[in-house]
Amino acid sequence: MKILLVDDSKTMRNIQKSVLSQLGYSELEEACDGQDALSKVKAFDPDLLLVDWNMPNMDGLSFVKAYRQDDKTTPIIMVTTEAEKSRVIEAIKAGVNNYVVKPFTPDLLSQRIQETLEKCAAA
Amino acid sequence: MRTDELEKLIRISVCADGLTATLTVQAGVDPEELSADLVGAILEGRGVRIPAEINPRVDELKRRIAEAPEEEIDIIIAEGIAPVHGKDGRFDLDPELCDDEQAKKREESEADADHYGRSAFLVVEEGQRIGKVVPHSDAEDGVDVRGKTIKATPARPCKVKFDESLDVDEDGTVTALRNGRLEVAAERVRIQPVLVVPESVDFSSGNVDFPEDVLVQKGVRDCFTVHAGGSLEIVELVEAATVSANGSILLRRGMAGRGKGEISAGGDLEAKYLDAVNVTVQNDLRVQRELTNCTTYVGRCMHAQSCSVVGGKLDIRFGGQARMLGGEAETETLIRLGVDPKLDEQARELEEILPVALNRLNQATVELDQLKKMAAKLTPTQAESMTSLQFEIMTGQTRLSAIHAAIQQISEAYKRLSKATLSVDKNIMPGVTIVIGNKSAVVREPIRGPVEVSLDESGTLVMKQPSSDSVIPLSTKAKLVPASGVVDVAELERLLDNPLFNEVRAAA
Repeated sequence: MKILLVDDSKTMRNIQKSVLSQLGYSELEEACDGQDALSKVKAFDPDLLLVDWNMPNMDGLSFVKAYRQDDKTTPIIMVTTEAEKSRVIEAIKAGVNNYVVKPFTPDLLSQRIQETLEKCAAA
Repeated sequence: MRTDELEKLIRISVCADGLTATLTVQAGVDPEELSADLVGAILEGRGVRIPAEINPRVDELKRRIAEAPEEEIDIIIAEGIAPVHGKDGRFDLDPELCDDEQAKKREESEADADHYGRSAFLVVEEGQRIGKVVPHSDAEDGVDVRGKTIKATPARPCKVKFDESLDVDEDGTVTALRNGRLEVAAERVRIQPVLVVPESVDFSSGNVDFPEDVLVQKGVRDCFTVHAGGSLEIVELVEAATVSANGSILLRRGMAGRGKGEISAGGDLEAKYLDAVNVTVQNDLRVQRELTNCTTYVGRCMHAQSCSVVGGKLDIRFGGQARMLGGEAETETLIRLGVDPKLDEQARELEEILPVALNRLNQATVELDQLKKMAAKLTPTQAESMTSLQFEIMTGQTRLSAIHAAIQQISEAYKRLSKATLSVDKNIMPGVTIVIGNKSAVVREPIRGPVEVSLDESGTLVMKQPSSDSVIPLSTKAKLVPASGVVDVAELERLLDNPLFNEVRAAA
């Protein structure tokens, strides 16, 4: 399974990579903002995306909206410090499948990833 | 001039091999009187075949007579065809392997030449190209100027025989099928899996580095090195040289290393005596007479019932036997049992990394607790820091669990090694220091054998006399001293008492 990690913090990407490696996923690609992610999705063709909200150049929400114009099904998990209910709803309306609020524990991230994948597989 | 007079002035001579006929014209002949027909008739008259190119040759003759009418002129008028003799098939050794080529290379770098490294043996490796078989060529007969056949010598195929250690492919390329010494004789090429050095290893042979077994029928001189990929046997004395083998080493006499000699055996080492040598044996050591002033590590056991160990340092992993330890003059002799350098290295590494890992985990925990207290008002940066700290703590705990398990394993291994014993048949002399685990004792009074030195269940150095089965603390004949340079297993185990380990286990 191919997973794209979109976050401007390398530390966050490293944490996500480590959690995903422990779950057995090794085909990972990284992007440092929404623009970078848009330039990589076609070639990489991910099966899951973990996207931060606040990033320079293009934020996560704009990226999700742009991405969903072409791809309606690939699951997206928003991993962000934006915890307000209105923001969560906004993200889900834009096409996000699941939501992880920072700070998160590695266990929580792992649980959300598995939950999202199972849900999408069942749909 | 009349034709018969003219013919008298013209001479034909055929060389000994019959391949050229020369026409000589004396002075006074008018070139206009010469013609191809006349010359052809003269040639026929002498039994020489008229060549196809007679016209241009006669024209050339006439031109030269006209240029020098007063001189005698000669010209090759007819030529035969030389026979092409066949060339015998042969084996050409690759230039890299030729002595001449090697000598040339040495001369080129004479300034920094390693005279010890000049090997007298052609050592080849499996798969290496050795040379090429050049096939014999066909012979072609020739014809002399009279039209007679000149027989060409036929060629013979390559006579060299290659044994099963070499492969000769369709285009004649010869390749080694095993490692070994290449022997090239007139009619035989083969690779010998055992290198036999008939003389001593010295400047005549150079250093020896052979991928298989080596037998040196004499000795090894100072500063030379001998390495065998298999086993190594040396019949006579080894001086201050370096000898090593991936397999076992047998020194039929011994080695006088003068503090510079080194032996390294991947298997066992057997020698009559070893003096002032740095010895590393991965398996068992057998010495018949003396082990004097050596620095020795034995990876398994020492079997030396008839051997005295005098001076130097002897580390044995599992234990063994000796006839006598120490000398009459209270020679300082250090005997350490249960020594495992790899285990020591691992233990020291753990001792170093554990405090660092514990400190970092403590620090991360404190930082996380501080952030947790302000959980409701975290900035995005703090939220990310908190995620990062949680991850660091999780990985730190995993690491600590691994360190905990490693310390337990190492501690168990040391406990097994501390059961090592050394049996001495005759005497343990004053000046001998015996170390087992972290216990150390310097012998002050002669201890009469047979006796077996070990560490008892309570961690006391004791000596057991097999005849009476009595067990006496070594301190009755020796002074207990702090052991230096050894890993303290108790200290290592105390590291496991750190409360953070309990937290890690609880979290797990």
